Amino acid sequence: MDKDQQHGDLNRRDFITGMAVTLAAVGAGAAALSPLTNAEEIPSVDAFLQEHYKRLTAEDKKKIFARLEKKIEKTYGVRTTIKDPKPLDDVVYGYTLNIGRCIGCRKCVYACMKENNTSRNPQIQYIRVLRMKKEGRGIDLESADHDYPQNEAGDENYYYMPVQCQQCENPPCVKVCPVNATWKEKDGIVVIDYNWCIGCRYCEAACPYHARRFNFAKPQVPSRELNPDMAYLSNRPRYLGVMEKCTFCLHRTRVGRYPACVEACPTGARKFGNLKDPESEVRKIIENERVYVLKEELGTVPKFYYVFAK
Amino acid sequence: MLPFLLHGFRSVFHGGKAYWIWVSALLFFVLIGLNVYARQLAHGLVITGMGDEVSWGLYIANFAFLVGMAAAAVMMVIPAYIFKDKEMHKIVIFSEMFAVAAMIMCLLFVIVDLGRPDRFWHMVPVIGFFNWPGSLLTWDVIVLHVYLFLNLYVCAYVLYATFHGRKPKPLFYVPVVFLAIAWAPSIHTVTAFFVSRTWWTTLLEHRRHSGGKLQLLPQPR
Amino acid sequence: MPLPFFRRRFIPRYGVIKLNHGANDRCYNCHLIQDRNKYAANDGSGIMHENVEKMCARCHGLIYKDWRNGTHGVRRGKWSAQTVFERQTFDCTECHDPHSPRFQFKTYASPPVWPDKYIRSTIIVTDHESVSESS
Repeated sequence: MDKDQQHGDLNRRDFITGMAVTLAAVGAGAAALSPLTNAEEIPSVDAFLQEHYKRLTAEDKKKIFARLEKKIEKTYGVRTTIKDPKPLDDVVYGYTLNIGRCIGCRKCVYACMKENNTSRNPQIQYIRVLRMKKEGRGIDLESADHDYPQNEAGDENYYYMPVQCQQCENPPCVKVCPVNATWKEKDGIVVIDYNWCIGCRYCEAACPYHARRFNFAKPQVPSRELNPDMAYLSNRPRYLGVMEKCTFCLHRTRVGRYPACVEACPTGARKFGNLKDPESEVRKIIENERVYVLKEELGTVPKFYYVFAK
Repeated sequence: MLPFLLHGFRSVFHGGKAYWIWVSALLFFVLIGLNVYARQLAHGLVITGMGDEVSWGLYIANFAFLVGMAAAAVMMVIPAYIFKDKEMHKIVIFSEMFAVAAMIMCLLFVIVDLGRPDRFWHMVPVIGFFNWPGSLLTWDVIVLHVYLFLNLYVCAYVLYATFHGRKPKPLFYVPVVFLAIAWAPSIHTVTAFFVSRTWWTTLLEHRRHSGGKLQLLPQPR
Repeated sequence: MPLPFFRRRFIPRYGVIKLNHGANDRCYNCHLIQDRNKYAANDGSGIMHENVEKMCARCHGLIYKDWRNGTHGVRRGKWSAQTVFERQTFDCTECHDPHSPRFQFKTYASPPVWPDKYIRSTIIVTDHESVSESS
């Protein structure tokens, strides 16, 4: 107190210069923040306050889905219904891929993009097709190449190994998520709540298969190519700055259909089915063929099996 | 308390020529940083040049570096309190303040690295949905915050007592200093686990086809 | 709704037919000599085109078994099909030309588009055996 009285005069002058400097700093700060005025994505209050998927009641979901549908109609001009298919009882999905038969044509990659409404620019692809020389090292991820040009596909001297989310039984990505935005469903599919993800990319760093993708820029899908068959947890349009990944097309598989990549495969290398059903295709392959999983030693227990067969 | 804060605020505007040059240089860099961060908020993390191949960049590298700086700062306190070095007492308050500054920058680097900083409230323990014992990032956030508040308390108490012309009572801050000293290795450890846990599954593999993508320095391709 | 990538159709190939089916180099091994609309079964009776797999199964029994199990060939529709109508199962001749049965597919798609800085001009092959053992 008494200190203020002592230097009253000096303080007043300093105070004025101080205020002037502060004002200048505030003005410069506002100028610096001006790029925010053309922000590409501003969350609405409802979206900002939205709760975690697991904490939503049926009514909340109805409201949220209606809001999202409205927004999609506004942005893309496409009328959709966002579904929320539940995991089926007594079903655990499994996937087998025959490396002996894959020709590396990347039909699955583009079918997946189309089905899952992934960003076209910048491109986001869930499936990477690795190409490896048959002679010498065999299946060797180190010498693999995932951006071989298209005229080098279908070569007899190479293996082609598509890698996508392995839907691990023991997923490292789920363990590291700080906010539980990703979790494993009852039927073995690892899903993400795009409205809860904070975008720290810890899961992307933890995934040994490089199966997760991050929306570094605002995802762009032409409205003409938007797939209107949508589910909340899988292929609805994504936000800027959130994680996304392959969900075995759960909007299709949970109503009994094959995933898009299986249907797109021209060689029949991809097989999909219920691991709990002894009559299913995947069970028959796993029981009868030479099967291996990628990076088994990491203990992630994938449900995606690679097969060596003619 | 109020005069203490007021005095602190006023003393910011006291200084010679060198001080003002230094402050304006710092403000200049702060404004550049602010501008770039505003651009990042507007257009997404793509402006940092990161991509799915390199998903963590200098932000996380700086974070790890500053955790080390903060821990090291408190290590300066050890000679003063454990080895009873009287001369080192002068440096205690500076090292504590250095730790506070490093910690604040550390946490800011984490926030800047988020794709959706508006959803940061998801990480707040009660209203959010914390992946408590599972994720090491939550451990890290908790440990760093505790460390920040420990150091902030010591700084504030010692300065407040000095401001009122009293000698700070050791009972009120020395236990906290010891706690901070003990805590310093813990922030180190948790950050080490945080990073190692990330690449626990991926370090074994080649960088290109796994997920380990911390790019501390630009790598020639 | 997904569009099929190539339409299911049987293309009759007229004109000069080059037979490139390994040791099976006689027309009437497969075609029924009395009725050219049918295929030949082992007992000399005819097989209609709808059951063409029965004819192929005469030689390729193991693959026929796999095809029946669903482990060979393309299927579309439902993995949980209750009736045959819910699932499309491709016949042998929908993927393989019976006269030249080696699988052929020539429409390949382009590689992913990377930002310029990620494009590699050469493949880096490192040489340490310890890493390749683990993968």
